[in-house]
Amino acid sequence: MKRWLGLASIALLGSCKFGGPSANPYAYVASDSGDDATPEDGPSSQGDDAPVRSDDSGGGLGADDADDASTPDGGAAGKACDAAVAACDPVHNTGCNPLQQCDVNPSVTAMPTGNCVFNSGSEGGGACTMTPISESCPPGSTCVSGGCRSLCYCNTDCAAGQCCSDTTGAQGFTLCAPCM
Amino acid sequence: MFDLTGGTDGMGGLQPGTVEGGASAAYFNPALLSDLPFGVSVGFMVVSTQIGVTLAARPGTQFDVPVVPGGIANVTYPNGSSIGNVPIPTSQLQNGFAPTLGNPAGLPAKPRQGAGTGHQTTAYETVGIVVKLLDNRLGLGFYGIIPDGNFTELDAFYSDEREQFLSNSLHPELYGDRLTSLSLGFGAGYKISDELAVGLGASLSLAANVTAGTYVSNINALGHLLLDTNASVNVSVSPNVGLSYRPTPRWHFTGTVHAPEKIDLAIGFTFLLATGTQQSSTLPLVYDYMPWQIGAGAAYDIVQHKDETLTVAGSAVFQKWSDYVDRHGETPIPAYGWYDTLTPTVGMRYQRDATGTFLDLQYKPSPVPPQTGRSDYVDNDRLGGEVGVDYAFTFMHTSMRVGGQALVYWLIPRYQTKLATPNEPDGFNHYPALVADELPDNSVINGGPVAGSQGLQTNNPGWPGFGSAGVVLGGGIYLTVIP
Repeated sequence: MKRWLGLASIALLGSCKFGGPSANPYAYVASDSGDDATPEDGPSSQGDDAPVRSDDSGGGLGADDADDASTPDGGAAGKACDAAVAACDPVHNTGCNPLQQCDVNPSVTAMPTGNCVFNSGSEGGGACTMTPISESCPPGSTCVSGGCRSLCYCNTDCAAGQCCSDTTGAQGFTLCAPCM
Repeated sequence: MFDLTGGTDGMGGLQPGTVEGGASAAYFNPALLSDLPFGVSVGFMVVSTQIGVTLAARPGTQFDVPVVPGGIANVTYPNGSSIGNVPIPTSQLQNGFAPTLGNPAGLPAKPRQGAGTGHQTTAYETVGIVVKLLDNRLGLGFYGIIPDGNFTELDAFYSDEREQFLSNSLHPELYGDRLTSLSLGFGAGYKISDELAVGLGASLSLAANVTAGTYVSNINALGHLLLDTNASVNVSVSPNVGLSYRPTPRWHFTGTVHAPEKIDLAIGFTFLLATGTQQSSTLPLVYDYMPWQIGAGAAYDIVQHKDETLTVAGSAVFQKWSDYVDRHGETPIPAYGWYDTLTPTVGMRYQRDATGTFLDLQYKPSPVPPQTGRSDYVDNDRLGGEVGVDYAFTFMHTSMRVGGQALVYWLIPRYQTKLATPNEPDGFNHYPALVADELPDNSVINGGPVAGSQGLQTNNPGWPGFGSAGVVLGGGIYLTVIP
């Protein structure tokens, strides 16, 4: 009997949770970029559903909102350098357990979504690789067309001389590219 | 469904990926098929979920969406733009209203939690077969759980304030229709050596597309709506692999990996109005999503005699719920991201002559974090156990096994209170993770402010808090014929 109780206790203690919430629910999100962030600008700049999330939104920001937030701000004042990304945040590499990193999840197109993967390490300068469970690029970047590219929400996420402007990567995410 | 019931055709219990049961190994660990004899099994099973959801009382009418003279549908921002999803006045949502001249249909009452789910009992038939080939080194298996009644049920709901327009209720996220979907698995296990076996299997799901073109001649007489549909249904396959290793006669180690499973339903519709206006949209729905699952287990024969065996077994399954996709194809936002979970199970098997019995205990942590914000995913930690018996006999020169099992899960009571949403006088939703203010503070009607729009107004069914608790009971019997 004692052995059984011991095993049951081990089972209870062994149950674990990993990851989970990775952002502050009180995080302030600016509504839109720059000078058009007023409701008086009307639907053309704001959209009908921006203040209250749209009917196609995710568990948090609507898909439209998320797309807006991940659009490069060009340094516009007042733009929150953040976005609603599901599962985990691949730009800031948050939301995964310590053994994994957050990569973009290209299989989900309804809204920007991250995916916790293992780092498979680089192959000495060769082309990078990306699978549903592994990524050879460092955290904060992702493999695009065989090369590692830095992910960003706004210009401050990019290195000097680069702007958050390339949308040719996974849907809903932006890549750093030389400023034009 | 597999995740809840475990193996229902033998001694697998809640550890069917570690302990040989029957044909259900085709799904849980196809490597175990190589150890099973040729046989056909049929069974019957009943599962009853009794999950209660309790909503906290609304603290005052200042949080209600008010009845607006002139109609809330005409409320706008100061610049005249729409406020988006126009909420229904809370009192009308709760009590409905009678038909009027302008609204001949009226509005039926949708009281909070008046259409809640969580109490259901479903019967299932189970069928399985194991075939042995290649001098018994290769085992092929098929296993299915087929619900009685509807072939499969797919019920979608929103888990936030949008559900006010539909059931205005909360629903358990990981039960309900997830327990009524068809569950089919098949696999093959090959014994590489006396110690090592590997397996490859797959489970079947559905992927359907429905498009509907409609012509609306009169929006006030939808009975005259014209509609064409085009539908296609495909079968999708989700693979899994298994491993079985017996380094000594007493030890047995296993490992499994299951790829994500889901049922996809894409709905596309086009509305053509008599005015010539045409609009189209698509709506992706995802049902019965199961994430990546990685399992490992071990069993050890404490007693190993010719006519008596006592085995202890333990296993754990990692489930990557952080990838969860809900019924509307949405994933929880980072502020309320789901946990990945590790579910441990311990148990014991006792076999004496022709009779075997087992007992398993399991604790399954909920992947859902406290729902203190906008979302209302309902789920609980789960503590459960299963007992079973198996008896072998011969009838008309044919070997058979008959058995049964009973399981019970206790959904540990849980309660959560919503966080306060700060005032947003500019009318924007600056805190999208929190309960949304559905009537902006600066909204106007007929050029003037809307009375009762200051502060938070919400019809989110889960506001200002909710609790959930319950039990899941199940049991089944089976017969296996071993020619």
